[in-house]
Amino acid sequence: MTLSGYEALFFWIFGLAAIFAGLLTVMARNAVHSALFLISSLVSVAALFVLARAEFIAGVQILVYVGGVMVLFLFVIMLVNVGAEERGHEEIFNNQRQVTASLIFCLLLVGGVLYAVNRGYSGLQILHPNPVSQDQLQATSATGSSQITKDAEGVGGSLYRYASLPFEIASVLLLVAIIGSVMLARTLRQEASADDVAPEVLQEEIARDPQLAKLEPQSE
Amino acid sequence: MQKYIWLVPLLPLIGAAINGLLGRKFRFSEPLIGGIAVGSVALSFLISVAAVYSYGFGGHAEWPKPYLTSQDGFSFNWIPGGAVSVNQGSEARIQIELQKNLEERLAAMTPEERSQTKGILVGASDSPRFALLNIEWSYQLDPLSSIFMLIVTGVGLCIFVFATGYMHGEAGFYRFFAYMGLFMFAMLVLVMGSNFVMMFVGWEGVGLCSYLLIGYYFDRQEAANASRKAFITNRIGDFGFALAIFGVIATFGSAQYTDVFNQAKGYPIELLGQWGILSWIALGLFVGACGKSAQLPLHVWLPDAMAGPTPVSALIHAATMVTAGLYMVTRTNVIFQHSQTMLLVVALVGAATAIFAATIGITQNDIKKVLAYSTVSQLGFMFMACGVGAFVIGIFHVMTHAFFKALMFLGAGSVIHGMHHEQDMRRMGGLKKYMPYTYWTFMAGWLAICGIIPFSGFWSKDEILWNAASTTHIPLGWLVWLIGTIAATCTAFYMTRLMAMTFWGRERFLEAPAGGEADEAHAAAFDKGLTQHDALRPSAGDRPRHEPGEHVGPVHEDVADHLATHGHGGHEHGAHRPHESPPSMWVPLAVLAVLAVIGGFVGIGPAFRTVTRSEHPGGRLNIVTWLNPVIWNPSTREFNAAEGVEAPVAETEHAAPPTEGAGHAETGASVYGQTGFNLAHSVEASTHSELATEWIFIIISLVVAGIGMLLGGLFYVWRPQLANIWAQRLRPLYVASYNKYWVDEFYGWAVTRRTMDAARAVYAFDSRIVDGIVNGLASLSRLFSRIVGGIDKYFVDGIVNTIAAFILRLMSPLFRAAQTGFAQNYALVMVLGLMVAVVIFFARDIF
Amino acid sequence: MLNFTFAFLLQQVEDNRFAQMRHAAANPDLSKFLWIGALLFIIGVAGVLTRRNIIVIFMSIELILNAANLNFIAFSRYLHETGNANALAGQIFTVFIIVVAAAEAAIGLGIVIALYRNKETIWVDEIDLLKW
Repeated sequence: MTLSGYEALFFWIFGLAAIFAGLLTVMARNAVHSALFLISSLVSVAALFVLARAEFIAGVQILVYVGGVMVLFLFVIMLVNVGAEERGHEEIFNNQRQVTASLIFCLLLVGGVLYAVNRGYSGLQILHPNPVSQDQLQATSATGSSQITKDAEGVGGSLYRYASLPFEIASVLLLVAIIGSVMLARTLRQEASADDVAPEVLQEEIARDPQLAKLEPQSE
Repeated sequence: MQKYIWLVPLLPLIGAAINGLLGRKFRFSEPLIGGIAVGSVALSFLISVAAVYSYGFGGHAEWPKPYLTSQDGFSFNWIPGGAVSVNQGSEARIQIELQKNLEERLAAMTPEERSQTKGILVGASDSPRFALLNIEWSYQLDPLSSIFMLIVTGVGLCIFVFATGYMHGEAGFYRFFAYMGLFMFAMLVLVMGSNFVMMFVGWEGVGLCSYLLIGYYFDRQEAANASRKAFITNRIGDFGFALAIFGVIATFGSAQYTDVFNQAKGYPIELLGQWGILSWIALGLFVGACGKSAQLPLHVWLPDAMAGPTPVSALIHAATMVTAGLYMVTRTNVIFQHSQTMLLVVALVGAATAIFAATIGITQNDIKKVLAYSTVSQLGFMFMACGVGAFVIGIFHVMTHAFFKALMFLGAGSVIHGMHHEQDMRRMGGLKKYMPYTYWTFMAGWLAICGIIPFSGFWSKDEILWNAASTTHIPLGWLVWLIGTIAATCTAFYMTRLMAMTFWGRERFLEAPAGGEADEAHAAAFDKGLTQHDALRPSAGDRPRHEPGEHVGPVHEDVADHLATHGHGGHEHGAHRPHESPPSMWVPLAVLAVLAVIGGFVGIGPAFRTVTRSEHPGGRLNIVTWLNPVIWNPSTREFNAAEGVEAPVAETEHAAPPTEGAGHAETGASVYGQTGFNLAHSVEASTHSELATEWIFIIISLVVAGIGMLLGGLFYVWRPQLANIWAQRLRPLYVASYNKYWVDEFYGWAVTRRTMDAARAVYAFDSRIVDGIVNGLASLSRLFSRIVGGIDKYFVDGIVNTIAAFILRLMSPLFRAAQTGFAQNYALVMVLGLMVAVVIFFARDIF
Repeated sequence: MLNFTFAFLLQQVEDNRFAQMRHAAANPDLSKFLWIGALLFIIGVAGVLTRRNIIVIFMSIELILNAANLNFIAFSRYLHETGNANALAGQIFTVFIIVVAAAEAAIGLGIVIALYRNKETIWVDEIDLLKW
């Protein structure tokens, strides 16, 4: 899958952009900045997906990951007040010992992982010396200049044929996640009105907030 | 029809099973239960009659060969035994084998060789034999078992019919007939079995049913005690019987009658003083017979057994179960006749029992007890007959006794029923006009038992006494005759007494309060639910239940008070007046009375041969002719005791081989040696005529019977005050007789209490010594465990706690430091782990 | 590992070595994809371990997941070119990882909000209830 020419150029641009954006995500002071940097990192990775001929996944990444998950992050950042660190009085990094140990381990990890990748890849090269590029066999569009991807077709075929059970399980997982997130984000007032608070806890909370006692349970 | 004799025991069993298992559950009505029971016995009787007829009198009669159902009827392999070592009686067997070898050698030689032979050396093996023991369940129809089949089913049928009337109103009606049917089954197995083991099964079965039936009124202490006593006494006899069966199997290698008796007849006879294996076997058998047939010293259970209902007394303790001992002795007469000592023992025990029981019966006041002691006495007579060698006459007396004793028991039951369960004769009297059927039938029984010609009892009793006087089997025949005659006198006396006190004379139940008023009050209160049932309350024998106004039990203490409250004689109470029994009760009485009158004609003795022109008139219907094939003749050493008995024309007295019943001619004397003084021979020596001798003895027995009856009439009809006067004059004898010679008390002291003492001693040993050891060991274990526990608790735990506490104090702060609660620390440790994994993965390459 | 590090850091290289490197740079193949994935992963790990803001920690976790996705896609492409029948398995995996990441993000942020309501803080070093 050797890329060449413009593809190689774009590969390096987007790759370095992803790394750089990721670095800035971790180092930004403002949480919103972190989120925006993460978005750019994700978009860069999506571009890398396109270069790796996984166009469908790239689209999914941008739609779901960036369009859904990151927007959720931004909402939560808005809810959770982070003004203090903007003003610069708050530490953004942990205590020194933790950071030092982390950095050492991460550097060691870098070395280890890259070494592993090289070793593995050299083994792979022995196994498959000449991978053949399949790019030439793609259909062309009406104008003849671009190539319509078959990735979506392939992913769809595989997903619904061989991965149908995990697909269904994933949908159940999402259902559970929906229910769980709704339940986790309820306020005490909402829980009391749904009669979901343990009696002892309810007594304590009423002691703190007498308003709770007036709530009527809305479940029968 | 013979093939179907296996149905004969089975039908009563089925009837009993239906009644017993379903009778209460489905609440059968009394007619249904009675119908099933009576019907099953009636069917059995019919089949028995048909089978016996076809066996003995039909076109292709098999008589006298015994018919076994294993031939073509019913048989199954009950106990496949396998090889048994036959290790008893080997000397006798060696003798027989030597004899057989000698005869074979002699037969194989030519006559001149024989005359030149001076002696022959023969050998016999000494090694133990082995036999293949196989105990089967098959029935045997032969002259002896056929008589018993007919008696058991026939008399049993009459008693069953009687019982449907007598037990009317009982709550346990179904239970009674279930037990009775079971009894019939067991008794029939006993008499029809083809081997000793089946007989033993029937033996035990009738013992069990006797227990169940005597204890029928299980809520009364008296009945429960009596049933236990009967069973235990029976069991003592059964022990001897079982040992005898073991001896039979060990000597003959088989339990089948045919095999055993064929072998036994070749054994040498053991004379008086010689005691061999056959004597041992006979001893064991006789011990069993003593237990079952209530001979001295195991007679104690029979009088107490009167606590059961009267039909039970009639069936079991008069007609059938107690005669099982006689059946057994007659069946094994080969073995008994091989042992002169045992014959003497049997005769003497029988004679002693006869006189013993007869003297007790004179003083008893309970009507059933009199009949019970009479039964014991008559059984003594039967054993006397067997002891002197007249087995056929013994069985003949069994038959006639079954008729008249069952008749009298049922008559007594009718009287008791009519008197509303009063059993004390002192409160009866003059019942003749109230209960005519009962009276006339009872009179037939009375005349029969006294031995008046031509009633049945005369024929059998007279033959017994004649055979005792003229026996050549044992010495002391004259003594047996004398005791028997005295006992016959006593029998006549007390039976006349019974008749007089019950049926003749003035009606004493009108003068004194008849029946226990205390019991009546108790009965009334019990029915109202005011008092509890009292099992220990003494009462007058068997009574199913008392109704208010019913007079039961002993007389009220305060006669005057009773008369005052109830008026003179209590005529207000309708229950006072005795009444005749319903037809279901007097019809069997009539049947039995007819049999008691004419039943003796099957045994008309040879004394009447001038009239009947035959020694034993009637051909095969004569009991002697019929039973001879099962009686062994010691002189010919074969069965069929007397040769030529069937010859009807025996005009001359001495031309034909002289035989008298199953007695023995002079030739028999040589078999048993000199038997001392023989009364009949000495009488004959003076009269020079056998016929005259026989007639002299007949006259004597009639005369003594007449004397007894006259004395009874004198003491109880014409001069009633004489009874008390003589009782005072002979006070010691009277007291001894009234208290039954204190036998029960003696047994209680000598046997029962000593056994209980032994039991207490063993218990003390067990509880103090054995348990003491065990408890001591347990205490030791507990002490040891406490010591070890202390060591563990204070020493070991102390060490552990100290060391553990020390380590904990040391290490705790260290380990606590890892719990920072800070998730990123934990994540850092995870990354460290990841690194370690990577390093390990590539360890080979890096280092 | 040591060889590679030296070769990358030191300027002193041989000619064909340098040419090799230039060729490798001009024609990135599977290994370069994997490098980028690895680096993104480690940056994410560093972020998880060092930042105090819980939201930023979550975003670092998303970086980690993304790096894994990149790995899968790269291998999927490689397998497609080497003729493996299961070439699209990597992309299927990626789909599921995205699903899981989304679910996890939703739940996790729900927890963050619940935590914020109770403790009024987003600094993780103030959430140490499990401390001894």
